[in-house]
Amino acid sequence: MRTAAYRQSFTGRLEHNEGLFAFLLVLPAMLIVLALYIYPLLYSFVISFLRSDIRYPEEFRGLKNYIEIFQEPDLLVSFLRTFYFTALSLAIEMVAGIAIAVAFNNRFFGRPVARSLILIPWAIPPVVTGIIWNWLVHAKIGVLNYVLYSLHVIPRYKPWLADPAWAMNLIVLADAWKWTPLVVLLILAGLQAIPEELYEAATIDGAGDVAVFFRVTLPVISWPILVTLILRTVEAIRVFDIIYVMTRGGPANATKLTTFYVWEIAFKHHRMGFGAALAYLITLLIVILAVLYYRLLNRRVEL
Amino acid sequence: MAAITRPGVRVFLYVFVALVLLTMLFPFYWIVNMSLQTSNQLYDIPPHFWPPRPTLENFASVLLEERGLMRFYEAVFNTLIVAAVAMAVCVALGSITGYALARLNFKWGLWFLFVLISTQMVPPLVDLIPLYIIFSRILKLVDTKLALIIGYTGWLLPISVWILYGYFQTIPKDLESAARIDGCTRLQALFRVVMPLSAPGIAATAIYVFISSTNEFLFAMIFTSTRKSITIPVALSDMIGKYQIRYGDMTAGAVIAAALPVILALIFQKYLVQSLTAGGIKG
Repeated sequence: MRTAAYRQSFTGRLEHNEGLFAFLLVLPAMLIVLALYIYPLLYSFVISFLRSDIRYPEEFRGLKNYIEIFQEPDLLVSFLRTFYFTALSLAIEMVAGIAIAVAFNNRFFGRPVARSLILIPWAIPPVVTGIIWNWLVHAKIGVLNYVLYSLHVIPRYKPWLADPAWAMNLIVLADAWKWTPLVVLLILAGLQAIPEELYEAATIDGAGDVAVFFRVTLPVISWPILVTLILRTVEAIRVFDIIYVMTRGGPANATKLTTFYVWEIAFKHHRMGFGAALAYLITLLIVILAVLYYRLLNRRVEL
Repeated sequence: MAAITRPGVRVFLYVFVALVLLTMLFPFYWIVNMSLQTSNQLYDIPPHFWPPRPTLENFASVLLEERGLMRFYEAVFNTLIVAAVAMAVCVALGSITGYALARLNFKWGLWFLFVLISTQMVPPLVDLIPLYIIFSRILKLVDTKLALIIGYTGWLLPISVWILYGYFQTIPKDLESAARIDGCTRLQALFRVVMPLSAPGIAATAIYVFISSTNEFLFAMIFTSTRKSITIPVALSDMIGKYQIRYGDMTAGAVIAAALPVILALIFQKYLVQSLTAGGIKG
């Protein structure tokens, strides 16, 4: 009886106290975020001042890990590679994504099917994406080699992934192939929010297709574009799976991008403290980029 | 723009759409095509654009034969368990959290939503390095399915909350008030009225979480090492180094790995698009 009475009073309190009810519902998620993000982030911050290394006992190093970042010879190069990768794959994804979205925003025969089918590259696991592209560009049995050879573009079969420049560009291509569908979906959702009258009005005012695109379409989808840009930049800086499968950072470190680099330091060479310091630096870069994008786009919208 | 009528432009539109579909589908078609050929046929020049004598022997061999101390179907099994549990937890906690943030008067609601979105900006390694130390030294969770379930829940819960938060906002408040006037408690109103109406949003979240956990690689690679917990992507990546000659295993394994997420994405396409675009559009 006592528990029943207690329960009644407890549910009674829930009925009257909306804040308490809300707090109880949110509590599990809050605890998870606390345990799996906030606590690790703080812990990571502590580690970044230690020598946390399987081979030695932990030892306080002060700022040495952060100072070492600037003495790491390949790090700057890996940042530049990441920048190249991110810029090129984002450029391809945004241009292709906007073009495809604009095309798919028209009515045409088979549109629902086409819109489902372009989801396939997005749904495929990134590891499989890497394997697929490995085969497509394979030195001996790759279909790319066969097609280019048959068309007399190349004199003999080429081991594409053994060439540093091509390896990088092919990884960009594989990544763009996987992520363009997502960009299409995001932009398409933005396009569908544009009322038809807007286009009619522009056309009546004598605007051509190009003018309509730049004056009507682009400004309206600038918010989805911003979201997509931030989303994809964060993802592109994280890229790991495709590199691991296609090149393992090679040939000659040509595809050793930042995340791969940090992974090697922390989990292959077991220098966790140094890895944590590096990871913090990358977070900072991402935040700066996000703020920059936001300000750039805001300014353009105001103009 | 919705109805292009000039014939020249229409032809251009169809050609463009055809090219897009060819680019998006050919690579996947190619791996399926390869998986249905024998290793010898793969070496033929010109390559077969259609399997000459389609065979399932690669699938049988990769699934059942033991390779490097484990069988591939064990990885399939691990992956399904991890993805299913992560999905259940994310949907359950995502619903109640999303509901509270969307509907109830909660002081720190906006602040919590901001924290949730910020977690998605953090590069995974910032989180992975401390988690690995905690999981290996203190909790002894390395090489367990539980480690993956915890990791994926942490990774996907914030997105789940965001998707469901957006969805709950679209459900008219009157229905809930009516239920409460009829004598439902708050919890009853949530589970009997709001949740059933939110089925599409819940489906969207479930599919998104399931596909994301099935496909995840970096976390799984760091935290798993044996048949007890290795997932499909890790098992596949292991083949690359060790069994370079067994082309059949890799092509069939890759097709198996892609089959489930691709089929799910096609079936639940409508919901999925909803969840993917949920956070993006509202400014």
